[in-house]
Amino acid sequence: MSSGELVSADPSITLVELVDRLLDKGVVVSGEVTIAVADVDLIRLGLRVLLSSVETIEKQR
Amino acid sequence: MSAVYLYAITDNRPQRLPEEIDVLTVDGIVGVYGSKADEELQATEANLWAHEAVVESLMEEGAVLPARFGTVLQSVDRLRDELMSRQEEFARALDRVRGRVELGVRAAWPQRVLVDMPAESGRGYLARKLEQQRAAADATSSVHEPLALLAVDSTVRVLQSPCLTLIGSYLVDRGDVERFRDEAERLAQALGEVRLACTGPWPPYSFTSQEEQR
Repeated sequence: MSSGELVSADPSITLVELVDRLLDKGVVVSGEVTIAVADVDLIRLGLRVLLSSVETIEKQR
Repeated sequence: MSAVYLYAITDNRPQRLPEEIDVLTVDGIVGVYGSKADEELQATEANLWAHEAVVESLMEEGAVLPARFGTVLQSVDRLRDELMSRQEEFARALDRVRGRVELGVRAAWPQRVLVDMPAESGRGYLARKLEQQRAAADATSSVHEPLALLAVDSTVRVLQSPCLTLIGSYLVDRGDVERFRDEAERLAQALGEVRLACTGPWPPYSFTSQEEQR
């Protein structure tokens, strides 16, 4: 991919955006609510994907 | 009484619902819930997409406030209490997102050579800090500000590592989505070496409450 193009279909970026939203945003209900503990491995995976997508970005340049 | 898993809050009782999903309506506010086994509460990629799919299907029928993944209430009664006690707040929040979607933008700048002074020294540290602040301000004015003009509301944060990255969320009228994408495309071209990704439309995860972005 040449530089200067909009990257929109990269699945790893979409996954990072999904993780960011579902685990960190959205309505939080108070009271006696259990927020299920997010799977730590996935968060690690998410970070890895983030890093690797940045690396891909670097390589593509 | 069994625990309920909350997918979203909406203003319209959906016509088409998967079998395992139920709704509770209190004063025009509709809680959409189901039940989940423990393994479905693990934040795996498949489970996240399953949550997302339900929320997206609701978006076709009304205004939606997506719940955070993994939100479990003790019982339907608890959900009723929650909807009742926060009815006005949810109604306002639903009004705000009605007819709108969220778009995500990630922009990554090439590695910059930071000030060539050891970070351990006081002056080096300060110089680096200043340069980071300047870079973040540049990133915000070159990418975030033009996009925010096309949005009803927006949030932005800038990361300095592993490279300068801007992460923005934009609440956009459905009718303006194409215009927003075109502007993102134009910025991507104008900024050349910046890698810019635009994702969505998403349910308005980043705009579920007034407090969050103020």
